[in-house]
Amino acid sequence: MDAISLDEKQEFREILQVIFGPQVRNWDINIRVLELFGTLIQTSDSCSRYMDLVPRPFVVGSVIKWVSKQAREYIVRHIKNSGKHYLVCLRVAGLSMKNDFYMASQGF
Amino acid sequence: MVKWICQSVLMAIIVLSGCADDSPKVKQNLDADLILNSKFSIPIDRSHTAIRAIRDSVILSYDDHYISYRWIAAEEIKFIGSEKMPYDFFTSALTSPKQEVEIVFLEGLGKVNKRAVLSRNNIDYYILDVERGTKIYMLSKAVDFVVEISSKSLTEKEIEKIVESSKLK
Repeated sequence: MDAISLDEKQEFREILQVIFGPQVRNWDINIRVLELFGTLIQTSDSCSRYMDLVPRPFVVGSVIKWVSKQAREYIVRHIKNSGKHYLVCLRVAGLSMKNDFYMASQGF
Repeated sequence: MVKWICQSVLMAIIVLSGCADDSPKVKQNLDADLILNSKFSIPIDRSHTAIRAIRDSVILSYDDHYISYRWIAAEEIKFIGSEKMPYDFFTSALTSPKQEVEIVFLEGLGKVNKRAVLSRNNIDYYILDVERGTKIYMLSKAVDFVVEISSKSLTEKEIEKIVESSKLK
């Protein structure tokens, strides 16, 4: 696995803050959190209209290859290019997942 | 930081009920009540190994799983884009979602098998089997927030206890 750098963690933290609010500042961004994020972005059909599908090289089955730095960088760019509408949509889809993310940030 | 920790702790007061007996012949009562926002009293098992109190949640860890208790107030419903009060939002979203925000919320749960919808003691319960485990939404017209209980593994007995013994304060 390519270790998640501090800069990468900060980029994902900024994205997740738009979705879940300022408490994300205290979350540790680890692979478990990214996997949950992958679940979130692939769960909502309604939200996916704001963003193109993640291309094949970065997906195995329905799971994004978060262990790959290249995949992570691509996802971050892709999400930032999708605009705020997409993240606001994920805010709704993620309402029921907030504590799952928190526990994942704690290592569970 | 200290202020919101204090607020979180104040909002979730764990009241120990029942008594412990040192006699080896008497089974120790492991029941307690979790009181959220001074409104909902929910039975919990005192055998938890850790308690996490964060901004709007209390998470009890046990040996092999955790149970999360979260209160969702009007501010959070507004944050996601609905002007409805929590009771109305969840009632609509979980029964017949019409607004886009309600449909997207339901999609966020993943595949849902609605196990039961019932009412006890002035509280409406929506018990859902979702991909990530079980969710129970507790709603009451008498309260301006909703409680969401989540766990990867809630037993039938635990669900029954929550439904039969929770009450409004």
